[in-house]
Amino acid sequence: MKKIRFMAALLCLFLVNVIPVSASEEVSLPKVVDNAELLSDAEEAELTKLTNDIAAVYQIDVVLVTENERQEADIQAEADMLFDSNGYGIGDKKDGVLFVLDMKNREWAISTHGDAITLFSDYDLNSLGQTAAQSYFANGQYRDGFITYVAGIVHICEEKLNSQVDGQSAGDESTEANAADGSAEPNAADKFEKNQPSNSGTAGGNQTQEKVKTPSEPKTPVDYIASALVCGLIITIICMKVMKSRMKTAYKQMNANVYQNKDASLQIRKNEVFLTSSITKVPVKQKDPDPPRHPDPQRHSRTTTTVHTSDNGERHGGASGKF
Amino acid sequence: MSTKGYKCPCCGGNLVFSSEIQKLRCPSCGNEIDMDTIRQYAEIVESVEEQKDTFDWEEDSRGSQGEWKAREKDGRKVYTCPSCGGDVDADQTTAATKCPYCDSPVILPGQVSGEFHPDLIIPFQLDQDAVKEVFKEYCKGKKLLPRGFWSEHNIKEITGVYAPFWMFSCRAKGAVIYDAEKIKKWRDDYYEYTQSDLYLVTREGDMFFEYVPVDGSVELDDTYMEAIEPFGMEMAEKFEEGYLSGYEAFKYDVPKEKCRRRAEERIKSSFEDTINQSVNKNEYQTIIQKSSRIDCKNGRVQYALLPVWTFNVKYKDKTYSYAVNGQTGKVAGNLPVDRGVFWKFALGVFAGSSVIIYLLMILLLL
Repeated sequence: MKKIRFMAALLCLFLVNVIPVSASEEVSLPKVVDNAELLSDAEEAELTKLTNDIAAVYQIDVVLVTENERQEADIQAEADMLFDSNGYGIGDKKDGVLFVLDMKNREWAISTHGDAITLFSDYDLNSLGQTAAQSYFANGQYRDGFITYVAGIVHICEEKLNSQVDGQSAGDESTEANAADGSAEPNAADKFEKNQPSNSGTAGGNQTQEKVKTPSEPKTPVDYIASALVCGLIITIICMKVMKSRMKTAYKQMNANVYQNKDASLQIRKNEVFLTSSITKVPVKQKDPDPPRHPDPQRHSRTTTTVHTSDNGERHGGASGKF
Repeated sequence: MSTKGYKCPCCGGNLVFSSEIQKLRCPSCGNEIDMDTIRQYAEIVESVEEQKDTFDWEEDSRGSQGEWKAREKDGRKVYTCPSCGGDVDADQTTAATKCPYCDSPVILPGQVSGEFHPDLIIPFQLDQDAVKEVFKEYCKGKKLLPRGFWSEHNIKEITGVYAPFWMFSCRAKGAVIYDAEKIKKWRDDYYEYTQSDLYLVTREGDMFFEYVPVDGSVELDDTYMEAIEPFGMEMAEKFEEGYLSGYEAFKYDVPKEKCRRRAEERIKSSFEDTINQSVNKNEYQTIIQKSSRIDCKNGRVQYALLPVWTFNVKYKDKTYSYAVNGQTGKVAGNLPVDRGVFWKFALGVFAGSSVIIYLLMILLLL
């Protein structure tokens, strides 16, 4: 079912372009910047249309950049700089994901911003980038590489939407940050649910890094209907039992308390004899001074996102690699 | 090592005397108890457990008397109405009734004399109209009651009856023993310690019970007669036949020897309740009643006629019986339940409570 929905979404992006693109209204920035001249005009137009469609449907700015010369020493910093300085991103939080391909150093990097930080985990970004770089860019198939990358973006966005629609819990982890400033924003949960794998990745370089865990999905009002019905049933059973019991007053007396003479002296003598004493001791479990924070590393690695701060002071997620 | 037939107070295992420590030791749980303690323990337990409950009821001076003479007619006893001379049928236990011909009250003196002479009587405090009002009030607020059930027309055979009761009074002395445990916990860096101290708790009580009633009539339902209790004996009068006039009355046909078991059950239950209340439950982590003994001294049994209104309500081919305390107006009986109303209420409560809970949950969610 999910595959069908995914295919339908892809088909929709390829064939239909009827929804107004808010991103294009916001900025007229090019979504595909082919400085390295790797794409033909037709391919560039095709990719531009795809990125515009994604922006319209998922409200995520998808940017593809190729270049031969870069301004920053670190490819991740280059991606962050391109995103920040050109004003990419949609909405107040500037939600977006930028892919930069450095042909001179044969490196790639992805930079995420806004809600896209928690939408794409490290695992997602590494997987998307490495698949495109190793399988396509390394063989000179730039158009196919970018198409695969964009399709991967759509797939992840669609999965998040599905999990939201199905009301499935995307994870029981809550957002937390271990950075010094520790200000992981509780942001993406309201738009998309984190449910994607992540990897340790190579994000951030020497920049500040934070770990963002998946926020737990809030329960919807529908989830409470069953609980309310069960509680209502219990209350009804109790109420009706009480009402029915009031209809019967023929019962035997249990004791003769009312006939006890309260005026006559009631004497009660108390006695307590100590018999024996025993002491048992149980070893106290010593607490591990540094317990593992994540008992399931596999699960943890697939659900975490590394966050870093760019030179412009913006928070970014990201991944990078070589090919 | 030698053994002695003492049981461990903790686990019930056989205690074994340890010559090393000069104490009794339980091989099961390892408890150690010195001889003085176990001797004291055994004395208390045996004093309670080995003695049986005793209930000493004084014999009254009620002597047996010859049967009241009556004419036999077709195998039944027939009495003659002193007013009209008509034949009044009465069964073996009838002490007072009404003449079917002249509606005159008829008292059968032989049924309330000699061994059947009541010691006490509580005169009726409520008349028929008051009983109907009482029943009307009783039906009020019963939402599951079928409409039309309460109607004066439905009330049939409303009858004021002096019911025979045996009244038991006594001084109750006895003891209740408990196994009690106090638990104290503490810990250090390496161990968590639990100290369990076992105690034998004894409570001895001395109290009085007065006029515990037990229905002495086979015809009257014991459950209904207990349900309309209590009767206030402060309004009891010395029996005079005149009180019976205008009412029906039965003489007892269940002897006091049979009724006293029920009185003893209730007295013992109350005795234990009172004693249990004197134990501070917060003082012990667990406290379990081990056994109890009660001695009833100075027991006194009196025969009394107590006022009871009985009537039936006929509704939809079914007859529902009720009894009303003729002194206090307390009603006993089972009212019918309207199935339709029942399910309507259930549905309403279910829908209402579910919606309220749902809204509360949403509010908390927001």
